[in-house]
Amino acid sequence: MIGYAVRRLLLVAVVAWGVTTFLFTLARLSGDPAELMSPPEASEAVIEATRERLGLNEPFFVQYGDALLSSFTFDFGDSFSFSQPAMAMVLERLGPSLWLVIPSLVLCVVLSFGIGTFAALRPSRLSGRLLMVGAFVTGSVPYFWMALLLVLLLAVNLQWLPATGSEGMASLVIPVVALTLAAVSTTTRLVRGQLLDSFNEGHVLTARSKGVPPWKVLFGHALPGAMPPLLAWLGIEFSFLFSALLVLEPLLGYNGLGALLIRSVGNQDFPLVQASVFCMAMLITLVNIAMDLIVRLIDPRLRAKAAA
Amino acid sequence: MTTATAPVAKSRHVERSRSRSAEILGRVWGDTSGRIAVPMLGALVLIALFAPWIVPHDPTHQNLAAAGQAPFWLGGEGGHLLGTDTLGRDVFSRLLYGLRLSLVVGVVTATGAALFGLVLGLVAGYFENGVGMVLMRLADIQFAIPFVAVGVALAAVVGPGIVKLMIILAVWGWANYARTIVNSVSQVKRMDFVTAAHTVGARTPAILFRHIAPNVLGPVVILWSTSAGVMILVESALSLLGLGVQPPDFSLGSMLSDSRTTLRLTWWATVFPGLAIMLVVVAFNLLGDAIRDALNPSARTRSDPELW
Repeated sequence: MIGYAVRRLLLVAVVAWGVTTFLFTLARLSGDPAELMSPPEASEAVIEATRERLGLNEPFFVQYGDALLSSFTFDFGDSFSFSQPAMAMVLERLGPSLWLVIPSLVLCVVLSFGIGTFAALRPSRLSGRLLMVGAFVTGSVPYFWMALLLVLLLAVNLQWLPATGSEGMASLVIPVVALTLAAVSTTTRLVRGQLLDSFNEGHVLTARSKGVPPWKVLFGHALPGAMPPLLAWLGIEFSFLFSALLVLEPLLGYNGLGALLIRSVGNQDFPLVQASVFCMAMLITLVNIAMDLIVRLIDPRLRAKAAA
Repeated sequence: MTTATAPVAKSRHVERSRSRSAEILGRVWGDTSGRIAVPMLGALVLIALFAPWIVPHDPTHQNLAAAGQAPFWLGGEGGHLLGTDTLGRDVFSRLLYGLRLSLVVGVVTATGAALFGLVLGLVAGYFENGVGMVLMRLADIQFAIPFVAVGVALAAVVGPGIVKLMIILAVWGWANYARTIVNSVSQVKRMDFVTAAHTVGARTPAILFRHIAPNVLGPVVILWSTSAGVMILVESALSLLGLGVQPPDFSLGSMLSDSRTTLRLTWWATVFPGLAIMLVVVAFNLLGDAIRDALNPSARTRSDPELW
C-alpha cells in the first residue's frame, strides 16, 4: 500500500514536469514576451532592458531550468498586466472557483446515488426507465447553453437572481445548477450500471438467499462492491468540472480561476497562465490520486491482488 | 499447394468478417437507441448536406430593418421560422449552415483522434515497458490539464481558427483511446495466435494492425461515437469564447456567442442553436449506446427485478 502510494505520488512530479515543459514551450512559441509586454512605442533599449529583467537573454537551458525551478517553488514571478505575484492572484481566485466546484460535486453525488440506486432497484419498471431517459437527455444538454437558459429564465424574466457577477450566494446558483446538471447524468448512469452488475455477484446473491433484509443487502453488500469504479469516476468528474468552469466563468462574469485564466491568455500574461494552469493540473492530479488511494484502501480485492 | 489454398482461406476470412459486421449492424438497428439514433443522424446529415437548397434566406445576409424579429408563430414579422438575430439574419437558415460545420467538426476530429489513439494505444500496449510507459505517462500529464485550458492556450499561440482547433482536438484526443485499449492490447499480445503469427515471420506492423487491432476495435468504435458528441460540445464552448470558428464563418457554438449579449432582446437566437447542438449530441450518444449494446449483448441481460 505504501509502495503504491509512493508510486502514485511520483506521478505528481511527472505531471508537474510535463505541465511545466508544455507551458514553457507554449510561452516560447508565442513570440518575444518582452515585446508583448512593452507598449508599441517603446524604444529598443527599453525592450532590451525588459528582456534582461525577465532573463530572456540567458541560454535556453538556463531559462528552462528557471521555469522548472519556478514550478517547484510555486513562484511564477509577477503578472505582466497586474504587476502582482501571479501565484498569489491564482490562490485568491481559486476560492471562488472551489465554491462552484465543491457544491456541484456534492449535489452531483447526492443526486446520482439517489436516482441511480432507485433506478437500479426497478430496472424494467416504467419509473426506472423514465429516470434513465431523463438522465440521458440531461447529459446531452450543453452546460453553457443551460447556463444561458437559466440566466434567461431566473435573471431576465423572473429577476430572482443576478445575471452575472460573483457577489453573494445568489450568484452561485446558476453556475452550480448548470455544472451539477452537466455532471449528474453520466454519474447516475454509472451508479445504476455498477449496482446492477453488483446485484449479480455471488456475495450479493448469497446474502439475499440467506434472507438478509433487502436494505441491508443494498447498503452492506451491493453498494460497497459497486464503489471503487464510482470513486475513480468522481476524480475524472472533478477535472471535467474545472474544464467547464473555464467556459462558464467568463460567460457569467464570475470572478474565479477560470475567468482569470481566459483573460490572462487574452493578455498573453504568461506568468498568470503558467501559475493558473499549473495550479489546476496539480489539484486535478492530487484529487485523482486521492481517489485511487481510497479505492485501494477500501477494496480488499485490489489489496489481495497487490499482495499476490 | 500453398499457393492454391491461400486465396481460398483469404476469401473465407473476408466473408466471415463481413457477416460479423453485418450482424453487429443488425443488432445496432435492433436496439431501441439505435432505432432512434440512425434515422436521427441520417436526417441531420441530410439536412446539413442539402442546407443550400433548404434555407429560406441567405444565412449571412444582414437586414437591419428586420433585426430582432421573433419567430412568426410568436407574432414576429417577415415570416421567419425561428426569428432573426440583432443583425437581421435569419436564425433558421444560419442554424442549418451552422449544423454543417458542427457535424464536420464532430466526425472529423473524433475520427482523427480515434485513428491516432488506436495507433498509439497499440504501440503502447505492445511495447509496454519502453515506449508504452512513456506514452502512458504522457497521457497522465495530458489528463491533468483541463482540455479547455489547452484549447485556449494553444489558440493564443497559433491564433484562433476552426482548422487549427480541429487539429488540436484530434491530437489531444488520442489519450482517451489509448488508455481505453492499452490493457487489452497487452493481453491480446500474449495470446497464441499472436505467437503463431510471430513464428511464421509476420512483421510487427502486420501483427499490430492485422492481428491485434481487430480485437480492440469495439471500445474504439463506442468511444468514437460518444466523443463525436463531446468534440461538438468542446468546439461550441471554444467558439463561445471566440476561439473557434471566425466570422464570417459560423457554427452552432459561435451563434450562441453572437447572441448571448442580447439574450433579453432575441432569446430565440440563443435558444434554438443550443437546442440543435443538443439534438446532435443526443444522436451521437444514442448511437454510442446502441453500438455498446450490440458489441456486448450480455450487458443487457440484467438481474431479475423480482429479487428486490
